[in-house]
Amino acid sequence: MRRKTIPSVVLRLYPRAWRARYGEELLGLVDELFDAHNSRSRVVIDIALSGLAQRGQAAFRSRRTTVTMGAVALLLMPLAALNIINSESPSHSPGWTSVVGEGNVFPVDVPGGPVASVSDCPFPPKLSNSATSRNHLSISVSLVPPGSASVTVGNKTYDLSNACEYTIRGRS
Amino acid sequence: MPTPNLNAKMDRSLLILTALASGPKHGYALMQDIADFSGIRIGPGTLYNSLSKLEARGLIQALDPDDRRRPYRITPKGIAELRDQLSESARLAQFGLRRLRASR
Repeated sequence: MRRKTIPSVVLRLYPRAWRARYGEELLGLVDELFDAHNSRSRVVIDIALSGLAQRGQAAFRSRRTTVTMGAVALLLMPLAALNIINSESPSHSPGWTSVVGEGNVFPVDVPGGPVASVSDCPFPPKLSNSATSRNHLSISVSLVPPGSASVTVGNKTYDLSNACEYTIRGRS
Repeated sequence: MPTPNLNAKMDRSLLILTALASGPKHGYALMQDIADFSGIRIGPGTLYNSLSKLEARGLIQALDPDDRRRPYRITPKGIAELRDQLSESARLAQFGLRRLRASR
């Protein structure tokens, strides 16, 4: 009985996911090896070392994922900065410079900013998010259920297709 | 029979794929077969570490278990990989042997 206990304890060295997939098979193989009079200490040492190797690899993969995400974030930061610079390009007309997203809204008053006028919207909008950063204002308006409408910003009118949510971005 | 100590450094994945080339095998049968044709005794933990990597790479496939024994078989991708590796090993071996003959 003891010979089957030691490998199952040593098996805990393996990562949980690996154990769940291969643990029972490995213990079955160990039992076969013990039954065939293989060296128990050698078998136990082998599964212990392999377990440590597996755990090390799992930790390495995890750290590599973190490092990769960090590297991606670092790579994206200049792009994000570039996007802000571009979006801050001077506009000749006051008010909104862009509309992003789609949905149905009623006129939305933006404090200190322009008014976006919207037509054909049978439901009241719900302001789900608003945020300002430097000279830019971003708001999200959602409407349930979706319908069809258009939004006028400055002298431009944008058609909004069926959707429950859209975002307007522009200069305030 | 090649010297086991020298072959112990051989890629275990190659040994496993070679063993599976003759048909599906479970862990114990794999260990026995590898020991028979190469003289190398792979430990159970080492074997399953390699099996998990090969399965993750799609080179082998687990079959339905028979009690606690689960056989594995080589996939078409595994066959292609084995063929490539063995061809490369054969090319290297021939190259090395030619050099040895030339140096005499």
